[in-house]
Amino acid sequence: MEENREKTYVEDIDRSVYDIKNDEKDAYRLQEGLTPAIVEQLSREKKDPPWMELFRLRSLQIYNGMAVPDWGPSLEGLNMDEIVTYVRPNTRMTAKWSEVPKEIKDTFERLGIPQAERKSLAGVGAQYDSELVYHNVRQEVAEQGVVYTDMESALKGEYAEMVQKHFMKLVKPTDHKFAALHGAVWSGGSFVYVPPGVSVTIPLQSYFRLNAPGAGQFEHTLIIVDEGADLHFIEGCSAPKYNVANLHAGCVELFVRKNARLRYSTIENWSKNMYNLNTKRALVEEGGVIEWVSGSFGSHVSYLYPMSILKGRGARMEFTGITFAGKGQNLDTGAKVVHSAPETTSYMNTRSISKDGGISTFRSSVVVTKDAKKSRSAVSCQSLMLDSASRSDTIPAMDVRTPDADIGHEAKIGRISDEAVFYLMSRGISEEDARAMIVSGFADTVSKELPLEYAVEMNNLIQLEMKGSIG
Amino acid sequence: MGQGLDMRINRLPALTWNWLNMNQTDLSQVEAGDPWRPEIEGVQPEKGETSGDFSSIATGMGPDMDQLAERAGNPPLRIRAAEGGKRETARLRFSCEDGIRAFQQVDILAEENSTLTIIMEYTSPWEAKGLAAVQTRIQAEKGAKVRLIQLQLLGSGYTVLNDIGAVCGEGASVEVLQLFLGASRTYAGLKANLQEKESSLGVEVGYLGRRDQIFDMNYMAEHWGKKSVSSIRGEGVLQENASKLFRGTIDFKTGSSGSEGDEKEDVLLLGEDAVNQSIPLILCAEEDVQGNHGATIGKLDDELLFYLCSRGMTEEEALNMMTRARMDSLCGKIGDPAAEERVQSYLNEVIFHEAEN
Repeated sequence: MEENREKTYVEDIDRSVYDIKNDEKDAYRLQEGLTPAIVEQLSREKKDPPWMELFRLRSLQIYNGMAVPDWGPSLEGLNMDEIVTYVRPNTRMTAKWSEVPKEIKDTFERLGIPQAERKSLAGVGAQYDSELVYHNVRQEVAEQGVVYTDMESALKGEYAEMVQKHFMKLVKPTDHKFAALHGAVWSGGSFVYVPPGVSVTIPLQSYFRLNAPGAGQFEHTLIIVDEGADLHFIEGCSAPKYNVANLHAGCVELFVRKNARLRYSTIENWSKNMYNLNTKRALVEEGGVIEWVSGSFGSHVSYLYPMSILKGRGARMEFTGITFAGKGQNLDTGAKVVHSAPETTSYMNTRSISKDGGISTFRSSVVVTKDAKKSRSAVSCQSLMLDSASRSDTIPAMDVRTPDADIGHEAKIGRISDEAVFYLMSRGISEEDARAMIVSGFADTVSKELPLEYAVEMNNLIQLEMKGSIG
Repeated sequence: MGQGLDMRINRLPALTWNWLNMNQTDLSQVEAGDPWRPEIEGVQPEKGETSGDFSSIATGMGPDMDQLAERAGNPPLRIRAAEGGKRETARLRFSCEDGIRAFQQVDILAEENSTLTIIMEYTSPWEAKGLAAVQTRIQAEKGAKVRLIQLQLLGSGYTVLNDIGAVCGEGASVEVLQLFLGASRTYAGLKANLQEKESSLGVEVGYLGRRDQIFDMNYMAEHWGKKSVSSIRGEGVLQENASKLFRGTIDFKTGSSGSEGDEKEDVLLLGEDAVNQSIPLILCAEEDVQGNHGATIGKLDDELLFYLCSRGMTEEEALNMMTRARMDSLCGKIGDPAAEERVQSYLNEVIFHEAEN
């Protein structure tokens, strides 16, 4: 009887809009592979300041000396000798969509970026392959002293010193192999500075589009939210699917100063040939708040664990995440937090759904140092398995070194409860609708944390289509 | 005695970040070649070969323990519970003299529908030093019920390697209660293969860490059979500089439909320099299962402490009382008055008198 029960059917994500490919006939590409000569050439192309060229070469040395992780999903399909680390579209960055080449502009139009900018964003950066093609910030926001620019400009302009002071200081190239890789070949990305006391009431967004087959994208995002300031930053990413491996090894460094607040939201929808080895980290000072909202839907393999270092008294972190692993995907996601000051708090709340042979792993660490007295942490992770061809693992770690802290953890793994379906049916709801309602409710805890437009995008991504029958 | 063995033990079945230092534990130059035999009451060990394939039973501490057993060369102690038979409680007392470094394997075969309770006690003079390694392998056949109680009441200089492996047939259950109260270093592992339908594992581990004691543990329930059930509970108190690493894994294999696994850990941190590390895993390759884990780590509830102090206790007395209450609660689950008395006596004479002095 039980074996014959019809299962909840959840559609794969509809990727048609993301899978449209453009020719890259006009683009400049570096040779495939990773050698000092290629890194030097990249540095020349980028017109790096001298310190950056040295930094890149040092990072390459570190990369060559480090092993690939022995604890996560397999990276055997990723061959760095076949990855092109730099692909420049044949256009310069502009602040007018009308000046962006039509083919590229059409891609972003289809992804809804210019429309979102008009309706609900304070600024937009749009990266196509390795470089930004569009960057703009609303005048009233710029007039508040908010800086939102591409990393290349920031590295050479008025903020060069600030960038040099912070660049890869939080995520050091020695952290892991792909942080070192990023240090060697990074290009693109955004720099944001919010002055003390300034509240940016509507979000900024950077969107990363990787069009070139066999390429890597290594954008660097550096955000400094100064004392008492407030910002919501949104990051989106997508790519069309190719038969060769693509690589994303971006790096995000966030500095949240005293009593500042930063919400960093991500909807990650890379194609299923993508190795997403991204590193994100925030340093939070006294009374500061970092809020991560993270939706992981795409990629063939993901290693993604935003880390928060709660350095100042009363600093706070919240992480809300959802991961949807379908056929051919191995998504290893989660979060890390270090409580290193008194009265710090952290809360992680995650949901994961595995179906059709997909593998979803929730991985976390909560480290509470001796100095973090009266700190609190709570972690809650829930996983839903939609069939037995899939996998769902939870690997949470806690390291507590003060007696004066309260640390809690709970995790649940399971299927859609028959009792819940039965209850809803007893209230007059069809089984099909009941199952749809339960799965939607499961994901809702995350989507409600997103701005409306992105919650809608997330729901579109999931496209839960249910069917069921009695029995 | 030959050269010691470099061992890698208590390895997680799914690894995580190496910088956390939780994936496994490395021990260097372990020697355990001294002859050693426990005092036995209530059961006659089997002589010669008995049925049951113990060599294929995987244990929680991992294959290096098998290698250590081979090097030690002591023949396994074999205990058999006959089909359908009921036994009195069997007691194995491992008395550890100062300076011994010894390994003993204990193989337990519980035949169909048998019931067996075994109490193992590890004792030594308080100041004794040495290494005591025990590997217990359990084969619980269809409908068998095995209850294993292990009481570690060793002296302050001892290192303990306490390893368990179990395989459960249809409807078989293995219940394990462990109290780790003494020794300077306790390494413990358990792996249960819930091979057949409706088999079950229940584990309760209690520990009291003081001074600079180290507890390093690895418990794994592998669900293969349908409707198999596991419960892993860790409860402890860490005082002074004590440190503890608790690895717990519930692993639902494909085909284990209808299974349930539950893991809970409750740690009371009382020492300013105590270190608590926990990593409770759920690995799941089956849709129709339920797995839960929860952990609570922290100090004594402020309101409770305030209440106790308002009744005239000092904070230290209140904390000692709560520590004792936790240990008493676990001790009360032994279900054997003589063993309970010895645990109480150990707590009184060694631990709490030491604290008072």
